[in-house]
Amino acid sequence: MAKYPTEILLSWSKAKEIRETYYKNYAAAHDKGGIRWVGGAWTFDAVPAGLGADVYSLTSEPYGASCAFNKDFSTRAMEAAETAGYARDLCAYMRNYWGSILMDEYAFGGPFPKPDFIWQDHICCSHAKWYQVVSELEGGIPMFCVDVAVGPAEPFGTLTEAKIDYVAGQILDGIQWLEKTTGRTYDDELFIEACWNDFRSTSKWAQVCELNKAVPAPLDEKTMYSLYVLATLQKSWGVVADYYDELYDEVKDRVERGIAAVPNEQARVMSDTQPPWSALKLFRYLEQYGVVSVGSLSTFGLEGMWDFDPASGDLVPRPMPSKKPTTREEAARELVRWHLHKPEYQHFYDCDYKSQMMIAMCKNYGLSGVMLHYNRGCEGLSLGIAENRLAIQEAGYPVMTFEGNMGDEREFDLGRTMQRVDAFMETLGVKKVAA
Amino acid sequence: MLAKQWDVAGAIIIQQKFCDPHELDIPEQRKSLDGIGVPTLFLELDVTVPVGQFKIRVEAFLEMLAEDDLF
Repeated sequence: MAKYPTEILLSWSKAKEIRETYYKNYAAAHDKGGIRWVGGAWTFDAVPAGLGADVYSLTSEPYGASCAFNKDFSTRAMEAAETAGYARDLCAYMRNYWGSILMDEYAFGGPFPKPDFIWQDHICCSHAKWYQVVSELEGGIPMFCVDVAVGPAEPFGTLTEAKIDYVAGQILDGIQWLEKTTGRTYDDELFIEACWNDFRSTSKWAQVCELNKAVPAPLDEKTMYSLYVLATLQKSWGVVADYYDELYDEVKDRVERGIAAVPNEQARVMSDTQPPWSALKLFRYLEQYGVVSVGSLSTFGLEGMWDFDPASGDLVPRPMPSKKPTTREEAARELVRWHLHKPEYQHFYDCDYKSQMMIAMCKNYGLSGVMLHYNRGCEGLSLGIAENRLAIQEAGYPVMTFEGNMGDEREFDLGRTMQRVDAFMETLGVKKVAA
Repeated sequence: MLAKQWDVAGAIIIQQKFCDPHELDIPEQRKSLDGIGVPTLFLELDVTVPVGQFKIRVEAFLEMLAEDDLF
């Protein structure tokens, strides 16, 4: 008999519909005179929203992950990229994406829809060049990139006004570039509204994640992947912000009624970096042990916005800005200030910052251990992961590691990883539960 | 441009593995060089450098460029 009651997540199908609508909108953008643009999931997507209500995006990493989920499509895309001369150790999302262009196949059906412009930011070495290649492969597409490397945010560093000026200044230049490139007049009201939705989406997602402190956890990480992805698609879209409000209410209700994601929860872990998208059944395997992965710093903080206090070890959802911006300049500065606080930016400057936040999660979420994905597919999020392992172990938490690749299923061995999980469970003293 | 200015017979492209920005440029560089008729040899290295293997490949590349008769 199950230890806790469980129920399906009622708003799950709505999340799926939103995602499907997003990808259809991008493909069909030109049908009624709309605009298509592409960029990374961390790009300031609120900015192109000022061009009009008929502006649709395709963000690169979630698209790469969607390709990875379809093994046949992904293998063909990878091989197309490799045949074109792109090395196999490059970011797996990129190779899936370029492969799509080279094959002229959209993962959601039909030919690959060519964007009208590229709006990107340089968050890592790969992203800095990703869209240069996209532009070349598509025969030349106008591209604007924002450099965001100004150093860590509080509490690890200080986002001075000069740093905010540097990034916000590029956004303001970018707005002029967007007007010139598209021939449209920019609407500051739409931009401000999009910024506010961005703050709403990312603040609320963090609040949803925080609910997983409850025992039993109302959500498991595999489910959370389908939910956080909406913010990676377009956090500035009102539909996403509204959905997270609805999701929060439902998950809070689950906590109040003691509804579990894993009905036989007897131990809790967290993971790290993106999962091997082609083999998410790994998380279902954990359930055979009554183990729930409550999330990870990447699930929580890839899009979720948090404040961290090293003194108390509290990692809490960042409160919304106290008031809505009223001008273009205010909106740009607030958007920059908000985004650069993202937890997942900080380890690019020092892996110790990430270790501190991960240890805080171990304490705050009642974890028995940590599973680190040594993700060959993403150098950025894997940066310093070996040091994170040592720091977490030193803090007294058992850690297992597994090699893999988020986007290239040829580099992930599910069977072997499950054996490592078995050994880890022995370390934790956790036995499989009756079915 | 450099290849034309210096009238090179061939180009050796050396790639430090795992450096994404550098690796991303390689296909375009090879295409450009092919486009002006400059043969390329691609050598990939990591923290360790396979000097012996590189020597053999470079020798073979140079032979190819010189079009030495073997018989």
